[in-house]
Amino acid sequence: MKRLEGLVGSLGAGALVAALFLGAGAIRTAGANQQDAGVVALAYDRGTDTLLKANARTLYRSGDGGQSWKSIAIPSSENGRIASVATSPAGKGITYVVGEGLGVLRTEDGGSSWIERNEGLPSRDVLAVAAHTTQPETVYIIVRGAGVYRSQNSGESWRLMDHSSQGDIRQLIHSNMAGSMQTGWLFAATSRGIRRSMDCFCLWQDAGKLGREAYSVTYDPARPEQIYAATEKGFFRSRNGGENWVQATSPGPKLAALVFARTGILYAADEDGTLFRSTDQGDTWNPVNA
Amino acid sequence: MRRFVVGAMIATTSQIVIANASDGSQSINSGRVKSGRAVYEQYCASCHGAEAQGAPNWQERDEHGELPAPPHNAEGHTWRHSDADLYEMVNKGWRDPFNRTKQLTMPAFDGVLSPEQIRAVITYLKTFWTPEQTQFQSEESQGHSFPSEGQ
Repeated sequence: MKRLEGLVGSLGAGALVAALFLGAGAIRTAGANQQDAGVVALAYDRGTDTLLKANARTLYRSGDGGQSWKSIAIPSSENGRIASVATSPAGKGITYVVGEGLGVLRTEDGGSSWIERNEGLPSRDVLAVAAHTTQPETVYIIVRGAGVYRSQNSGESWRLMDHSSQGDIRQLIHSNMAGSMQTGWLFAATSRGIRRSMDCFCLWQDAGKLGREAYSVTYDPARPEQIYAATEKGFFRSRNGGENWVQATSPGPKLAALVFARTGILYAADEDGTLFRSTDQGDTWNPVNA
Repeated sequence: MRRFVVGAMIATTSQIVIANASDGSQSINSGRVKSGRAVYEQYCASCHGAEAQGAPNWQERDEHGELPAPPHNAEGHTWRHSDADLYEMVNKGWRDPFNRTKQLTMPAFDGVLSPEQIRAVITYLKTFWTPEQTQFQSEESQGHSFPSEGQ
């Protein structure tokens, strides 16, 4: 306090007010930065064996299983925030990044160049993206307040497939699990749990009775009926396409994102960015970059 | 009266015209529609309803985990599928992977209906859809049309 009084004496009251104002601004910026630092998405590019991680402002790539990360520049959008990242299991090096205010961005070269894919969309408030498992040019997005859109030409044009809202969606994935009337299934992590629909969008249904907010969903590409969910109550597994869920040990206090790599490794990111890996479908976990 | 006149005009031609969002009209063979209706009434209506309205509560699983028969009209999702997919579902049937029985959710009509009868009944279902749905289904069928045996 003495130092503050001395400061007032030397700089004057006006300068103090200015300093306090700037200080408050800095605190607000720090708060926003802290909020933006939380992990919002994990993705795995099987074409390049690369792990991707995103917070609201930055996309990162790791070629060594999460041991080290390198930021990838994406076209800046003043008010845009990354919400979701998807890689094409059927294509090589194809990645989509979407977000509210950001729209849809696509790269085919690991992030060296990006193309906006917003033609025909009602807004740039895109909540989630999912790449088709077997069709490299098919991709699905959810636009806030509008519904689910599908593109069959890598985002050059979009078709509204489903008006219905599935609640507050955190993540959307496409799966080639058997039994669909069309080409596969879509799973959504929502505020109501995991929701599921065939990719004809015939009928959205709750996948089992998880009944709690879900932040992320992934599946084992070698056994697509094995689904994994990160929820407000921890980590859950299903061995029958989401019909029944069993809680398993969660590696962290608040998992924000999950992804299953082709190598059979299941990755989980805690909200603070800590990355964990499991080689036994989530029975045991180890921190990656501890 | 006007509707009667239009209906009479349609009845005098061999085509039924369904509004189409892109080119204004889409012709459907009226003879095929007529035979499709007969097939529908004999084989489909008992589950999907005489007016293609579907079973009650078709969006909710029953006590066996089965999904009841859906509507084929504009309230359902039949229009979301290509001709090839619809043909396959009628011909081979379909089992909802989440039901708790071994039986098919949609029975197979292979050997019961001829390829032409399957095509005819699908053509009849198209008369229940909105122009936008008809347009959507037409586009979904591009590259996924009826198999050669149903042509």
